[in-house]
Amino acid sequence: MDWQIILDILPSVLLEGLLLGLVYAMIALGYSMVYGVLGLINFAHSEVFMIGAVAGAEVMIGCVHAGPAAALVLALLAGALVSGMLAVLIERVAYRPLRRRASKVRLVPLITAIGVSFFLQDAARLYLGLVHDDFYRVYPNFELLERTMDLPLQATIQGKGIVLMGVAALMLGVLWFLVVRTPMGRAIRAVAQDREAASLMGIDPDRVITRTFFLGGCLGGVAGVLFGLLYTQINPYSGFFPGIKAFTAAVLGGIGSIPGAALGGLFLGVLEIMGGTYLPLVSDGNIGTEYKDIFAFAVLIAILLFKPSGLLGRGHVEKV
Amino acid sequence: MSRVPYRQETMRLEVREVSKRFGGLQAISRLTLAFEAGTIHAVIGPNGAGKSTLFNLLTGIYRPDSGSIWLHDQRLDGRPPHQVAAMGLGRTFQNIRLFDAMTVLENCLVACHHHLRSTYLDAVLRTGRFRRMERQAMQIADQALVIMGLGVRRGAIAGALSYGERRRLEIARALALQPRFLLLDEPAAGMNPQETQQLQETIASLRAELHLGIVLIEHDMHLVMGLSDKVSVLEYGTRIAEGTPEAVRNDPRVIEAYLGQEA
Repeated sequence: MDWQIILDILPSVLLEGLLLGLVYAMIALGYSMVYGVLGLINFAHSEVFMIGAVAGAEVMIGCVHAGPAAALVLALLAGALVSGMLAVLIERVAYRPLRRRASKVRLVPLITAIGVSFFLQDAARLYLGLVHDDFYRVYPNFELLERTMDLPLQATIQGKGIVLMGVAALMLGVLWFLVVRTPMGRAIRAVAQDREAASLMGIDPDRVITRTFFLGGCLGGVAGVLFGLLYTQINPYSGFFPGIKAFTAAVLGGIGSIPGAALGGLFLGVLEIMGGTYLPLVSDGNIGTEYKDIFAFAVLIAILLFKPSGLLGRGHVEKV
Repeated sequence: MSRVPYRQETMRLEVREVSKRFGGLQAISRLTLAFEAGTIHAVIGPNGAGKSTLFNLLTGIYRPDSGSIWLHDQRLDGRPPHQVAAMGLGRTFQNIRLFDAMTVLENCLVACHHHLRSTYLDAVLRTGRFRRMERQAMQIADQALVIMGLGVRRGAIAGALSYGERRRLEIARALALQPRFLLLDEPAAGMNPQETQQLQETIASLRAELHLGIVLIEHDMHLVMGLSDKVSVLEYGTRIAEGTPEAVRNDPRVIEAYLGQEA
């Protein structure tokens, strides 16, 4: 075991972890915000992310001759809008009718969410099969996005890594602004704290819930496109692992907490890349990179055991 | 859903023949009541008389099984709570329900929402319309806070306020709705005599200055008698007496209802 190597690659590992962490953070926000207003774990969110990634791929492949900047911007917009609208649609079709009828039984929307999740996976598979006679889509290569740049401390970053950081930072900034500084954000926070009291203060909870789903969906869709850019290949099941890890991140940060979700996502991303890189090194190759997924779930179990309300949570997580 | 002109002297909030049943319990039965702008109207009665149910019916939380509820010439029953609130019914809660994680000012701003109309884009781009609306909301919220003596606490987190301040913030938040009628559900509960005295003066000034109709549920008989223009007494979901505080105090049915409960 060579400690020097571990130290040498640390900056690169952290950077890569940060990129993945930003993706997790953006997905985790969708889980956390919806949980905040509805007390519902929207397990279909991982598929909202996947469909955003597919939509982004389609647009980017379609615009491949328009150059990297235009293709990228259009793909991000498509991902955001398709996912945002899909999330709103899911809420209208699957959750709202249940909320009206079986509001006391929390298991019902949870099972529905899982059902919607399977439905969307198969819908994506059907679409890819019918339209492309294929099982997955590949994000196009742009030389500018693949180009590697040197950073201090022997770290390197690709063009797409810079794009990812910039877009993610922008999205998180806009979200923060919307939630903290605007009437809509206040309404979301009010509904999250006490839906009935908010409605008695003149706020239409359904409207707020729709907007929350839209925002969460947009973030998820953009995360999907960025994820596709980073890992190039998207198939109908690409949402599952990032989704469940982002869910873990949301729980880690304290579900319902917006800064918590962002923090949890970053932490989990870094942890996963570190684990995946260093485990083979410290075990002399006996434990391979494929064990990296263990970390997210080990963390989930540890939080549920020792601090179920999460790092920044408000202390009521038992609702699921 | 249009707002009725503000200083309508004859504005009435009416409950007509309303009934509400929960399982085997007839909480309200064929109840008729009328509240008027510019008056303080107390609703009293033993526990379980249906006072809180009445508030929940008025504000749209519950739907009446039969009968109707009117604000001026507009029917309220059947509308969702946020519409009823926007039409001019502000309320407080027996067990305080503030948005504890928000600041005092934000709590009031939330209640200004129904007269703000701005889109995402307005907000992100900070258009003139958006800023004008925010400024207007800020004014309304600040005014409500000053009336309730919370002006200096506007930046504090609501959860960190003292009990008396929390009670007052609930009223300030309801005032930020700019309601025609203010429904106060045991506003003096848990307050000490000085705080209650202060509250009494504030409520009286709301009636005088804002020409609000105030509906008061309260167990503190001293407050009720000192403040109300009119008192309605409920028992088992029906009205058993109504009139000035003096008349009600001496009504044999009222005395029986209260003594009967204690015996």
